[in-house]
Amino acid sequence: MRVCFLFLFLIAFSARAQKPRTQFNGFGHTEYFLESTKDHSYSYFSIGEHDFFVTSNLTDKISFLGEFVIRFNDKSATGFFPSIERSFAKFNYYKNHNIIAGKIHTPVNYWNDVYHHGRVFYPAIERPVFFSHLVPVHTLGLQFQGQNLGSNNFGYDVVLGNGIASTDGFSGAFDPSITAAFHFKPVTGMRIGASYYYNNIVGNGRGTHSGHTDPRTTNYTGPLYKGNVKFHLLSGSFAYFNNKYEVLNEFAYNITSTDSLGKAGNYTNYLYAGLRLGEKSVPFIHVDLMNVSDKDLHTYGYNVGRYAIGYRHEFSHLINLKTEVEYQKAERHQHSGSHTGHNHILLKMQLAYSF
Amino acid sequence: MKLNLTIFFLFSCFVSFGQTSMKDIAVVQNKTGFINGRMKDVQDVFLGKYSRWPVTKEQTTIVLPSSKCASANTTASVIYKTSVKEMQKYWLSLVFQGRANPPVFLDSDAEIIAYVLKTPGAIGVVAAESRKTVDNKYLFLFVE
Repeated sequence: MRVCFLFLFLIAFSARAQKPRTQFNGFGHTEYFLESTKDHSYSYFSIGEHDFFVTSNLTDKISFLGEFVIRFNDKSATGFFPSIERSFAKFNYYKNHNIIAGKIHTPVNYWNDVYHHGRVFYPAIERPVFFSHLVPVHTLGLQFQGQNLGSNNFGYDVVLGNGIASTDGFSGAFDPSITAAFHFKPVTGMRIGASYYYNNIVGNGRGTHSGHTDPRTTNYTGPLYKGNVKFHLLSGSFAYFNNKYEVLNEFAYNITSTDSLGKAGNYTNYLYAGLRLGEKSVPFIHVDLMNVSDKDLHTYGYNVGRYAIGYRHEFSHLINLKTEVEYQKAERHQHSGSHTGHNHILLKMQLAYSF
Repeated sequence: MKLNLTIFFLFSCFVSFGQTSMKDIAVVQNKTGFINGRMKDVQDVFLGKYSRWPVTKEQTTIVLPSSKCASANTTASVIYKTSVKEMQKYWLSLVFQGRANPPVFLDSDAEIIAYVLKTPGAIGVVAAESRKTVDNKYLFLFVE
């Protein structure tokens, strides 16, 4: 609370009259899927998230960033569902050090920090699979940020915010989350980073915006654990993008701890590699693996492997077309002790744009 | 004779490929306190290293040529070591991350110079021949 008052105090006394410089951008994508399993085949087009992005310099030291997304949702009367993905005020209090208040992308790894909804920036079509299961993608709270410090461009992020079980408007318990992350950029195009996230998830809840898919939507059919879950996430990432080579590796180790089954260790690794051929063409591969322990009572036992080869054609920096052929193998641990699984071969295409 | 011509051609290609250098650009600044330094220092600035100028404490405003500007290719090549498209993508991505204020992209060197001169804390890059239209006190001096 004291920190919040200090932040508001600093904002009030730093305000200098200035005409706001406001900029609007939009991001969107449309996709095509051809999917084949042992029993079925599917073919369909899909309209993706459309993201309205605004930045504004409110004063010499304070800026605002907002990101508002509309996405398809068949439960909505209109068929679409709006959401506030990011909305924060940033106070630049000293050199490259900032205090940020509002809803942010939790700075746990490269993908969440750099790409998130901006499909036109994605090197491949989809996010790593652990985004839907292990990564708390959003946090609403207070962030302390520093960047480009020293010759190796060191950066840090410390976030105190709502926990995984909270919503954007309310938390029914005292269950704040804490994130601590650092990165450095020793050469242009390279970023190496690591982070730690902790939250005591009261009642094993899942808020609307934690990014955690309810396990029942991914083929888990058993009852859900209602006790508290201590959730630890350690992440590491390496990214290097230059005029010739593109490499991104994201690693995460997640420990969940319950009174019922004790500690469960989950791990995941995503590796992307691309080779730039000329200004517009980038063939690439990616391997995406996730292993969730059978003892885990938050995500529940789940093994996924995705292996893809693809091609990205960049018409300009504002529009690209990606094509991938992917083999996916998934196995879900059921409450009864049995396992269900599927193997897929998918053809995916994505037209991603910014406007 | 044929071999000599081939060598001459390859040498010409090599020379022309490496032609763009800091001598092809001029950096214009206004109340930044950033008045001389190395090429590496200039690249750091235009890659968004500073939110605020260390000396004057003014907010940093980066001014760059748009793809319509005649000096865009030179700026992208000399400062960013890449194409105009990649330079624009770099900034779009940085702004999207929430880690930098958006730069100002303008269509001509004259517009870049005019914008910088009226904006304290602004820094822009133009073609070397535009240097003569700017008072020396607004020009950044490269040190080898």
